[in-house]
Amino acid sequence: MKRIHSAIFLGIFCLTGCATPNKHLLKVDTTPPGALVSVHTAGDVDSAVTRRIAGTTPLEKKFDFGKPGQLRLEIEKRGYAPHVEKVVCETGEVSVDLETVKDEDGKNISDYALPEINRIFLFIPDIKVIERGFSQETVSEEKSRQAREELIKGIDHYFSEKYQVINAGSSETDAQLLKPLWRDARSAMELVDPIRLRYLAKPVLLETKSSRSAANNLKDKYGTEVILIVSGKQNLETSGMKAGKIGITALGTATSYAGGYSRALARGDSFFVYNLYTPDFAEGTILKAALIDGRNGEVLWVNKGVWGRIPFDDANAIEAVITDLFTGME
Amino acid sequence: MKIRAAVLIGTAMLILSGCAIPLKMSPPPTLDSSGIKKHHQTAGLFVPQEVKDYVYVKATSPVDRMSYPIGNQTYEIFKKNIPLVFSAVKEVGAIASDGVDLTIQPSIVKFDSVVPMPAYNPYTATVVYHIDVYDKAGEKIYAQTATGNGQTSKGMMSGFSARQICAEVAQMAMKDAVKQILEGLSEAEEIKNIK
Repeated sequence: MKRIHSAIFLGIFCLTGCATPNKHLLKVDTTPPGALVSVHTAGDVDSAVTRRIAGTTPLEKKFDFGKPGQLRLEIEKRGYAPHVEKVVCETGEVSVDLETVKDEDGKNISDYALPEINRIFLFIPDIKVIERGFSQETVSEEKSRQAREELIKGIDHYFSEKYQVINAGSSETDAQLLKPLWRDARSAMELVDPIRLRYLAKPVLLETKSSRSAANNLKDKYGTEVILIVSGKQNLETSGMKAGKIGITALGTATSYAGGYSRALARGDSFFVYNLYTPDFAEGTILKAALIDGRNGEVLWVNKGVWGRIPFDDANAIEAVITDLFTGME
Repeated sequence: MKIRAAVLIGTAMLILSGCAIPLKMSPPPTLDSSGIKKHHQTAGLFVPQEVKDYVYVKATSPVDRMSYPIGNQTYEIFKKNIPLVFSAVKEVGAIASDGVDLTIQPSIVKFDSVVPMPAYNPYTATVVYHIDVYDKAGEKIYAQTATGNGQTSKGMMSGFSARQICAEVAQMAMKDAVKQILEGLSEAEEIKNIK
């Protein structure tokens, strides 16, 4: 019996030991200040999976060094080479002089800043509304069109106090210009980290020459300093699909109830337990956005998010989503 | 007792080996070439062995995993579709090989697939391809990254053909990305100017 008690105690002791964070205070300072500090618990600095954003320098906080007792700090600032620093629990303080990097022409890279904006060129948002039925799914052209129109209205309204929003792009010439821009912007929206973008050593440019020159042509044609691109999709479920799910969950609940009831009856019990199944509707929206500098095709800002079902006939709901999506575009 | 243990181990091994079978994917299609203008050059297609061998493994439960032969599919889809953009295409073993005006080297930046639970939710896949194009001297003249997305499901019926849907959605994403690469190659001024 004593042995069992000891084993339980030892087990609890081990478990609490494992759960205890190994936190230590660490000061991180850089010259110049304002660099982004990311923490990696594993050795792979390139892995986004292990990256945790800690804040900007000067920084003083308790870091969890975990079981290995060491961390890798990645320090990034626009115009400076990324710096990786290995720290241990006892390090206490890190001070780094960041080294400048030059652009392809050998010039210093200036700090991140949005250009002076008066007019924004807004692409027609590429949004698809997908209706998922009992045995198939289809893109609803009508709902997709409504979503596009309402998003344009909402975005126009959001920026109207500060900027003029030019919404064009339906002509054949524009369509040719937009194609390469779309292609490169899609990859930027997929791969660029919204938080790190402004701290990356060099500005992120649209990758191909054709998309950069397209951005420049649009700037010249419409007098817009920046180009705003929005894409996404919304999944909806048809009433047939919903009815199917409700039916299946109701059937599951009824079967569980009947089974529990009959077993209780057979045992002579006065109570029984059964499972209550509730339907889960897979409806939601993904939106991505990017802001491109018309002068050189620089990706100035990106963001993406996931929302529930957005009712595109409700201006207030759209406004809330747009405000959320454009958070951080200062 | 021994027989029971042997049966249990045998069954477990059978289940585990069955789960390791790679996802069967049908040969990739030749894409629609409308709007794609052909270049006059002879292009070399160089797909490194590590790209061809790339397998994406998705754990769908503690004892079940799906392995997607993404590398092989990538190789096949590029081999089949790059000829839509160039008058002649040769497979080559290195950059700047003899007999070609330029060399195209594709790589897989990222592949991700969502296998939903419950199975009636949407199946999605995303692939990011990158290509580098080199001239005869081995100088990089063009680079492009393309992101392809795919989504499909058969609603409540999805669970009955999950593996097939996983393969379908991966191929949808690949087609989407390769189509963009073909368009980009077709429009690239850097390639038009190569002699």
